[in-house]
Amino acid sequence: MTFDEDEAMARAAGLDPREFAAIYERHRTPVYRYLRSRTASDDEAGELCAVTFERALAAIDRFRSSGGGMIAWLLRIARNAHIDDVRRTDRHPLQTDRLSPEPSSPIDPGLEDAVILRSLIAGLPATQRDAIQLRFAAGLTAREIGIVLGMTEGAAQKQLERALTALREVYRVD
Amino acid sequence: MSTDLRSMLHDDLPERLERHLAVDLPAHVADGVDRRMDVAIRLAAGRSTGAGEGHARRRPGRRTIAILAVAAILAAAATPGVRQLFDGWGEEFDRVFALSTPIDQSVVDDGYRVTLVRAYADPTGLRLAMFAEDTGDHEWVEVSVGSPSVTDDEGRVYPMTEAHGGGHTSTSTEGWLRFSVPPEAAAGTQRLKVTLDAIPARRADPPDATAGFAYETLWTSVPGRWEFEFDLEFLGAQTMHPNVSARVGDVTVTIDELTVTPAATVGRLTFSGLPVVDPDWGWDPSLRVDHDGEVSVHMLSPGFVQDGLVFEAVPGYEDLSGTWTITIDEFHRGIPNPDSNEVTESESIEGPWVLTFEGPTGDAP
Repeated sequence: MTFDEDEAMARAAGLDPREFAAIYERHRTPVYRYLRSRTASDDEAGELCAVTFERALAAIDRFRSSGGGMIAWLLRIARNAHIDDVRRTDRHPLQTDRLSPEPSSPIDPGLEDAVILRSLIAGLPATQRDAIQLRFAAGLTAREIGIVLGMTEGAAQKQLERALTALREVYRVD
Repeated sequence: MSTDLRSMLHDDLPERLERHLAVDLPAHVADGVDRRMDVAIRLAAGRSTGAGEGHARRRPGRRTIAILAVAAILAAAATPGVRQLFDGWGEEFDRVFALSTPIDQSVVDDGYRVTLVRAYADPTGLRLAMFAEDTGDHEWVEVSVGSPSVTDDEGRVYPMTEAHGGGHTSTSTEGWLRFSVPPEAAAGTQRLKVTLDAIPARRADPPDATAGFAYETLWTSVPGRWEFEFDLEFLGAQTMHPNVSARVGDVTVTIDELTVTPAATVGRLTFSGLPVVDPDWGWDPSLRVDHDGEVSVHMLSPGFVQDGLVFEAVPGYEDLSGTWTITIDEFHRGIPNPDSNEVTESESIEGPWVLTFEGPTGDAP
């Protein structure tokens, strides 16, 4: 997919929104995968995936390939949609001082492989976390990652390498 | 974690990341997103194009309240397979499900069945697993549990703070709902009353197809009465105040409070010395919580911070004993382009800030 093709598809969708279906079908999976890497459940990721494409449809006239390809544009929208979603969530400090300890049944400490990796990624610095999710969930190149995160290709590559190094160091075999 | 797993992570990390992150889109999720986009595209195209006419659904007529309403509590009558709807939502949901109490009460009103499947409560919140179905062929494309009110027999109100919706089929939706627990609701058995006066339902076609891209107008509210009453054992918590600090450069991070419940680990951190920035594009800390070598999974990003944050993570624990290490590797923030409001630059303050402390042993926090 070249930038010219992206531009042509966006122009067609701007003239006739039914043409947007081709954009949606082409990019649905990587957008979902990226959002799934940032959310707790399949359904949350699906909801944000729908929001992403609804926003993209509403803004398709503003797509310009000079800002990167269609996938980078969609993932910027997805990233902002997820940030908006987190901001909307109301979090309250806990008040637990009056409560007494109350033992209950133990929790199985075994963690699945995928959950371990997700927890490791969650512990990375934000930019490294973003870079890992964009590379391995959405399948972006370093150049495209740089476009989504607002940095150069070299800086994006550096973030990826640092993230992989950090993950390896955490689980280094002594 | 076993040594074998560590070796695999080390040797095959990129492949393992790809295998776990490049996941397939589940069919029921794909169906839901496809439906949303089908409607959105037809909305944008307008009816004049004739697009998607074959998918148009009949809009339900206005309900005659009271006359048609038939409500029945069907104790222990959860739909077969409901249990499976709440499997595999992710670590935090799975743990709460395992700890929760089966309620399995269903109420049907005018063909809309709402089922309260499970409940769990500790000081971090009351969680309800609920399920809504349109069994009356009203031909909505989605129905949802919505926002029930919760009170106890002391009259205390439990405000809803989070809702995680599913969307299993076109006529049913499962959801995990979370509510704040009033501080005076001590551990022990509480009698809870959960009430729904309406449930959201989504139509395939908007009231006015020329209204533009206002897809929110597709949702409407179906009035009714769905009430549930049950006893629930509230689990307790252990809290400590470590007051341990770490300083790097001008920034100091302090852990003021740490609480564990069987479901979650919650901590309160304060920061001093962070440069003051626009709160809409504030600092995003990279946070790790380690308890005796077990790395926690964050349930939710704490969002943007300035003076402090409350983090929540799984797993939870029976008590606070053991070695805790809380690490912030860096504070990062995106800087938006004022024209597009999209992040085009970023800045970071690098640490790490490492807070290590011992929890009390036994039952003496």
